[in-house]
Amino acid sequence: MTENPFKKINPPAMEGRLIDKTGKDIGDKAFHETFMDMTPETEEQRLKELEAFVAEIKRPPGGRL
Amino acid sequence: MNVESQSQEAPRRRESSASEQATPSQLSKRAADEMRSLRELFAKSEAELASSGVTAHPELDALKQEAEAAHQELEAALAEAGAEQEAGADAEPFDEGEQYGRVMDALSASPVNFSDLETLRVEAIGHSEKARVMKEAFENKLGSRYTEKLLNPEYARELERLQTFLENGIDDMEDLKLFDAYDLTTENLIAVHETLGTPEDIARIVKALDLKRELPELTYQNNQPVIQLAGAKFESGELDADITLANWYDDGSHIVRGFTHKPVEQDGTMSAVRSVKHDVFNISPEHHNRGLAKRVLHDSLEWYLQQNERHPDKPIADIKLEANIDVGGYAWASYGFGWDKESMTSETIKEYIQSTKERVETIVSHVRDLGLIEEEERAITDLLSAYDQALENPDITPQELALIGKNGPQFRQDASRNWYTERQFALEEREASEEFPTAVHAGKYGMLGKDHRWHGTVELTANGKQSGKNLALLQKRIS
Repeated sequence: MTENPFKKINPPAMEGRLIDKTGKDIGDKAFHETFMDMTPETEEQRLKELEAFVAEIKRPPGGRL
Repeated sequence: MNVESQSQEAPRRRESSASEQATPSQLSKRAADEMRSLRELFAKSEAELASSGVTAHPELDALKQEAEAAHQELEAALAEAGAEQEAGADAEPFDEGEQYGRVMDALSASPVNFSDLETLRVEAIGHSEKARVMKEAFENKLGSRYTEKLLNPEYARELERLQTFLENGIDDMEDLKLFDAYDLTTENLIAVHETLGTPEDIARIVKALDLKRELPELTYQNNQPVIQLAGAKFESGELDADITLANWYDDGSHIVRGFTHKPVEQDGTMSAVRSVKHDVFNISPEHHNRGLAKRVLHDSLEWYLQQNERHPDKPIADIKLEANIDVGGYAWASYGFGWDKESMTSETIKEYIQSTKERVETIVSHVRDLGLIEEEERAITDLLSAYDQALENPDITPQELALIGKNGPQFRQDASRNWYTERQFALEEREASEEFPTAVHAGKYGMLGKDHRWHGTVELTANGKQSGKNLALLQKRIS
């Protein structure tokens, strides 16, 4: 086995945080921007897709749910 | 004949004399050197044609094939001649220990001197004892599978090309340090080649993870290289490697991915499977609203799937991640990630579900204190009952957990982080919190927060337990 003695991956930095008006750290900004899609429309679409997905994965092979 | 012409003639005579006395292994070495020059010439011609926009060159391809075939034929003939010569003559003095040391030194050198490896390979042609010692040393270091590969000149050339690439870096990413020079050993080159592919493959995945595409003002933080090898083992006969691929920037932004290449034994046959872990995605605050995370995920997924098309013998079986960073718990469920059963037991899944229920119960406690109407109390009782059922359901998926309470009750949070039902929120004029500007359902809220976590996976092949359905959802979400 070849170990790399200089391996120096640092723990995640505490940057990229979303700070609210009171100065409180409320989350990872990148994820909020990209994944949360906080508008009611995008959330509604997300839930529809999730429901369709759950129906699909719970469907017995060759059968109906 | 004058003096000048004599001096020009002399080297030719010496060459001719050497040729007459050359052994099959010396001739083989010379042929290998000639072939190497020829390949460089072909590569140069191809590059020149490509720069002129010519990508199809059948005549050149035919010449290449002809040269390779002739070289192989010559090697086979020289090997045969060498074996005959060895059988017919007294064996030359041979120190087994010294030869073993030479081979091991060549294998362990950093950077690898491929010319030395080629010399050893050629010397072994027609010298069965040297061949035996070389094979033994190679196998002790690399196992039989990779010994066979490394003894193939074409594979060795690929590794040499990879070494040059790792030393020189990517053309249009000049400031990026790819690999530590002191780590350029044969074992490590094999590990990088088998896990991440050719220089072109590596350039593509490094670029897929590069934030400078959207943020050219960033500078690479080069006190550590992009590719770091945590280990490369060959004991099982198949490569067992862990490689971290990370792009770091001066403002603290960084993306870290862990790639593995693991041996798998099935029905007595050893094969390999790869996996990738999405470790960290961190962008500094000033670079928000650019869709970076989605673009990086899209490009890297494309790379994984291309790899699987090209290398079905060692597929990247899955993406793994720890859904623990704030919104990740809910977001990754909505992106199709299922429980990673290699990292989670039914007990730890249950503990996670319990923790989501407890998060929701804190909201429930708040809104109950404010006074619920009968209809709301009924909905909340049903909601808590759904969590109890989830705790008893061994087959529940993260997606089902995320959907709990989707039809209500919905909760609102004000700027002071107090929780309400929608009706309670509307009773007075209140400002919504930044984190939850709109209503949120229990399943979503339960999976948010960095104080609890789950391990997720999406299989990248259709023959796993997820049957490609989770991958389809992921692709849909990032398309």
